[in-house]
Amino acid sequence: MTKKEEILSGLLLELRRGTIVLSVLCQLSAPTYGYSLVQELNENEVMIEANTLYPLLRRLEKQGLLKSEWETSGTKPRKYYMLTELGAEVYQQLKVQWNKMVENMNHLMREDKENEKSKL
Amino acid sequence: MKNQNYDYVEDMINRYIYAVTKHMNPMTKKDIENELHTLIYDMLEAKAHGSTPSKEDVNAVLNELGNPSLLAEKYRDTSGYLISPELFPAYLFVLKIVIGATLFGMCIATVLELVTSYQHLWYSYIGTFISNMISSAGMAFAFVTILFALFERKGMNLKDLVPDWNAAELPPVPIKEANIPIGEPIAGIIFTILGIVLFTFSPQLLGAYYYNHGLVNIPVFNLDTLRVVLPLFLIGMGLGLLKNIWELVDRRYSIPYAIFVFIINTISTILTVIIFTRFDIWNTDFAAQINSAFHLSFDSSALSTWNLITDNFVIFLVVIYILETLAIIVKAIKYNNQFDFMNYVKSMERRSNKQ
Repeated sequence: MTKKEEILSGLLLELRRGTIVLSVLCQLSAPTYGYSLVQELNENEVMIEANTLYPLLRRLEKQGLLKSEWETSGTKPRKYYMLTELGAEVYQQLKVQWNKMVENMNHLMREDKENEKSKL
Repeated sequence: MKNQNYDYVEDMINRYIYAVTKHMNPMTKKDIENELHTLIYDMLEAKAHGSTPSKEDVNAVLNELGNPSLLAEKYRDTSGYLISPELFPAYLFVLKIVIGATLFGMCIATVLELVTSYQHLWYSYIGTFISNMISSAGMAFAFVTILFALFERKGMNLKDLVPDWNAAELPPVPIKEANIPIGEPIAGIIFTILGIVLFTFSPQLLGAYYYNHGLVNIPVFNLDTLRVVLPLFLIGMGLGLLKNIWELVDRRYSIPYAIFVFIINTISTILTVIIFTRFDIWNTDFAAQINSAFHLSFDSSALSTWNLITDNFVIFLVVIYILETLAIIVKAIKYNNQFDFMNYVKSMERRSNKQ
């Protein structure tokens, strides 16, 4: 890995870290168990590993954003997580903020380009 | 063969889960174990595409989940620090002074012991000296560490007592007189530890000395009684150390400091009164021994002077405690512009309302 690639992957990791909670919250309006959530996210090219997601689900539950229930009727006992009322509210507000942030960033970066053009 | 394979898979999974959850809180442990168990089987299924998982499959899955202690770390929600990095500099600072003072005190006590005893040869002391040094340094270390670990557990942040920062609340640049001089707590710690060492290990050294074919001393205290009241002495001195440590960490005359000193000095005063009025702490033969040591004819004036001192000593101590407490309260009120107590209470209220 060249130095440039190293810096780039470090920065990307930081960017992704900030979006993990949002990507989890947006998938949990219906009860879902941990591993299927991992697969769902990975299919959408949001890469998250089970060893990060499982502790995170538990933390979000402790904060009151998620609730969980054991489902033992299937072949394996599974713990299903879903949003609480608080979690749903927080998710909605977070989503609004996210969209605003994306818009602002896009706007900012467009200006950046124009500035450079005017300098040339 | 198939069965053997299954045993291997189950065994490896159990080992992995055990390694992750072994230090966990029993409340959540079972839940996490069950969840991980299902997760690992889900991952195995995906890896083996529905067929019986092989040894390689289970190893690959567990490697993907990674080092069990790192996973356990991710599950832990408290910081896991005995003393956090925020508190650590203060801890180290206090630790150095307390251990230094302890060793210094031990050295002085040993030298005194050497000078006043002649039945031992000096080199027979080396072993005792070294083991005393090590054990007392260990005790000092444990005392400071436990104290700071308690600060940590109780979430006491000594450096930042005002939670909501506001520019209007910025304390003025301290005037020199508004700070506790650093020498006070350091001298306090050194003398207190010297006191602890002397009272615990060689109380007979506290007394009058004279020269008669070698240095001879007359103890000023009744050594048998002293052994009985030693725990009370140690509590009082421990409280004194707490006060000195507070002074080292936050060197301002603040209202909380004044309240703290008031409480500690009240307890110390009560202890002092108990020690000096409920026990025969003084060596009643002191005056007589002095007389005979200096070959003086019996003189009642020495005895009456001795009685006068010992009877009023407790009053003297209590007056010192009261004067010290009053001085600190006056200073705390005078310099309190540095630390607005009402503001502090209000900001604590704001904080608790938020929660």
